[in-house]
Amino acid sequence: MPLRLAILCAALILGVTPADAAPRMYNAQSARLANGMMVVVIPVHRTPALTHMVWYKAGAGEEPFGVSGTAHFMEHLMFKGTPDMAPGAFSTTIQRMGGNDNAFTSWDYTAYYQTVPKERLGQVMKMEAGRMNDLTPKLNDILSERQVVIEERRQTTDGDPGAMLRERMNNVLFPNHPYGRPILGWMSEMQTLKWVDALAFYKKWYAPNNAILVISGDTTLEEVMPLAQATYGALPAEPVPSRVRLVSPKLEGEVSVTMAREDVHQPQWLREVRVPSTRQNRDVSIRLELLEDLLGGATGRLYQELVVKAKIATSVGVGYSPNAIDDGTWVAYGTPAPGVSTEKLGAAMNAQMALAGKNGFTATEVKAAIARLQDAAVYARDSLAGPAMSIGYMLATGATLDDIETWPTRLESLTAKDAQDVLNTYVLNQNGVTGTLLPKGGK
Amino acid sequence: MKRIILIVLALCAFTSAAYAKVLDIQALTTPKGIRVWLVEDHTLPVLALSFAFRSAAATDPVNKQGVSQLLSNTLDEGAGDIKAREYQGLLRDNAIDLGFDSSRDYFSGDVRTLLRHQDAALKLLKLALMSPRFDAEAVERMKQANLSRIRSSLDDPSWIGARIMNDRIYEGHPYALNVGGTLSGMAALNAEDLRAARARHFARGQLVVGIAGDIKKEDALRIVDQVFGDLPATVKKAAISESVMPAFGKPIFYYRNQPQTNLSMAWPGIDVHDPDYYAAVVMDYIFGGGGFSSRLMDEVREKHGLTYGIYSSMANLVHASRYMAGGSMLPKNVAPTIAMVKKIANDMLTTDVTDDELQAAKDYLTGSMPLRFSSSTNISGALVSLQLNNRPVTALDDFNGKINAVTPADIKRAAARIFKTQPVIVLVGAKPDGLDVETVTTLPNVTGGK
Repeated sequence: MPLRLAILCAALILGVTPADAAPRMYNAQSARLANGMMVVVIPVHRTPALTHMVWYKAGAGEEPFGVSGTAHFMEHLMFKGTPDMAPGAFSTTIQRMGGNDNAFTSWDYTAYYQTVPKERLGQVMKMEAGRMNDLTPKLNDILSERQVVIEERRQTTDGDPGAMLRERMNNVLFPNHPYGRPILGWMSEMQTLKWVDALAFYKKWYAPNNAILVISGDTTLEEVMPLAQATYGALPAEPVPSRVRLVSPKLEGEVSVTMAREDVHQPQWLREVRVPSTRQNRDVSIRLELLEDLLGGATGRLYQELVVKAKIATSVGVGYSPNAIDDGTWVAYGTPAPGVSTEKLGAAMNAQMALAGKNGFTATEVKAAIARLQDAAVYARDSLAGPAMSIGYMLATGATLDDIETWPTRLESLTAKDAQDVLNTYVLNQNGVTGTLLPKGGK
Repeated sequence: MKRIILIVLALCAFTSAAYAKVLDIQALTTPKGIRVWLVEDHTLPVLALSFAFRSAAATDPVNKQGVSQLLSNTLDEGAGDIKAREYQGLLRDNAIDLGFDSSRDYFSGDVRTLLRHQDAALKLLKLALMSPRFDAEAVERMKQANLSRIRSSLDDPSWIGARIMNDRIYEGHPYALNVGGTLSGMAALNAEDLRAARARHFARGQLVVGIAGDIKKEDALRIVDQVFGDLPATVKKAAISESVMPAFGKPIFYYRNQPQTNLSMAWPGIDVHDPDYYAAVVMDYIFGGGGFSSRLMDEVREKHGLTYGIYSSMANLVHASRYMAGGSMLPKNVAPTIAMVKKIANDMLTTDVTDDELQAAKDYLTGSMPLRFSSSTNISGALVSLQLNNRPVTALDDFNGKINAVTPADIKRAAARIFKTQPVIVLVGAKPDGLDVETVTTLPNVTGGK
């Protein structure tokens, strides 16, 4: 590496690595390449291995109307070869290192990852950088892969009543917004996807300045930067449009979606609302995370009241999805006990949530919840791929490293009233979509 | 000349690697005679303890299928003077991950705790093992959760397929039963049944323990005796016979309204202690276990685009070995896929694998082994698995040598032992085109005894 470049790298490392002393979630190190690509390293020195990930800040949310499934199809085509890499050879090369690789697509991002012995990092970066601009899939591979993604949809969605219900609920919860479309695509559109659709997406969004490199494992930013410069750093920055999403109108009232099918044997009930994501409002977001812990779990009030005491459900829970460019989602769900209707369970769930909104939580409950969440943060580092995954999800959806690292500390100042307020404002006083899964002709 | 240099280099690499242990395992026996393998790891203030008893669901009576699973669900629902809610609260508030599980052969458990909550974690584990309450309310609640799970599974084609497949390939053997229980059997279980199952499984003589984390040897020995030392030394074990694979018949078909058909195929397998075991491991990687490096995936997905995924795997139990493969595809593609699988299977036993395929398989299997140990629970769990398989403490270090010794002739021999038999085939979902099938309309071991 030329000396001048080395000095530049050192300056970048020193300039960005945080120096304050507060306890941090991951102690991640970060820098930026000259072409704008962000680099994040989470040192975890348990085994001589690492997980290397590249996150593109583009997913199904960036697809034009009429070609749903393009982002995910593109993800599959990324394994179909470059001038330096035969079709299919990417994964087999990683496997010969003893490693594993895969990729996934969501509405807001597309990510590629490999877990390999640490000494292979340079080679893996060269391979990943090599397919950022130079993909050359052959026509027969494109056509056969289109059939593969169609079979993926048939296998994961079209045969699964619960998955079909959630897909339909998304349509209703996010009208006129890409979150309302399936990531895999609508079948009729998937069947007509063409290479030009994927290529247009690839050219528009796949660029180093629209990508985040995240590595967790047995390495350091100092070791990574020269390799990153030599591989990703050699790629030119490209003009990338900003992510402009259509505005999804708010629901004018509470909406219900019922899916009734002959193959359903166990009814389900769930209710989803749109809530702020971390990018939109990190203060509300962390309060919703606290609320999720307070209401959920085997000792939470929903389980205790509805499963243990009233015995009208066999399982209940809540879930908050904070990682989104646009709105996040909050879901409450339950499985009714035999003989209990989904209406009765839904009414009881809503009543319990309303009661919590009215009476709030005790300071003792909140203190215990905060301690639990902080303790769980220690386990976040007891894994190889885990830290890279968690950080990638957040950075790719517009959160900052500071949002992530200060999370355990920011929890400390939260109060019972904070949890009660977000419950009332963002969950209870919002219109949502209630979904029920029923046997056809059943109750 | 080039080739010789490569071999010398490869030897150097192998020799230097051979001196570094994969994991620094200490094989210990406690004063009370309990076997424990330990890996000290001081990178995080975390302790992971895994254990398993060599007795589990294979001893569940036919009319009480699922009792071992219900035991695993109910142990942490109150113990000693601590009732369910308080017990769960102590786990949660101290960030203790505690879980139990019952497979056919082994009743197992894992606990992960931060060092500063270690005493609470071990106390709760010991209480759960020694004096579970089995309060009527908690037992009923866990039964209802299981019944609900069974009803939900009736919507899952791969679960449906497994019910039919297990009934056929372990015919007449306890392995044919449903570990998760049946709708009528689960509903009839009570606390007495749980006590009986506990008494069958829990004894020091059939226990192995694995520990990984921030702990020293003396402390590890002490805590193992503290938690498990008061269990009975031995318990009378019912003999379980070996299960022999029955002859194949027509493909068995169960209709379900879905666009695809789920295909599963089973052949006789090769036992973990068989001299051909490592050859079978390499064979499986090349045949269908190796993802995109495998012949099944290359042919059925990559070349023909017939499926999202097709895989094979070795299904090794203590008293049975099977070899499985499967995927899902449109009904018109089922017969072509079966033909492709059979052709690839036949190639494995008639023709040598290529040098490149063999080396790729060895590179992956040897290179990936150390990457598995990336969390404290991965490590403690592996320490238990090795002991359950009666492997020596050097097994991980010996693994590469055994894999690298496999030859093309070994692979053909292993393949012949598996694929010379016609597979049992189970199809669930859309009716496959052009196949003569035996249609079944009821599922074994779901509603009642069978």
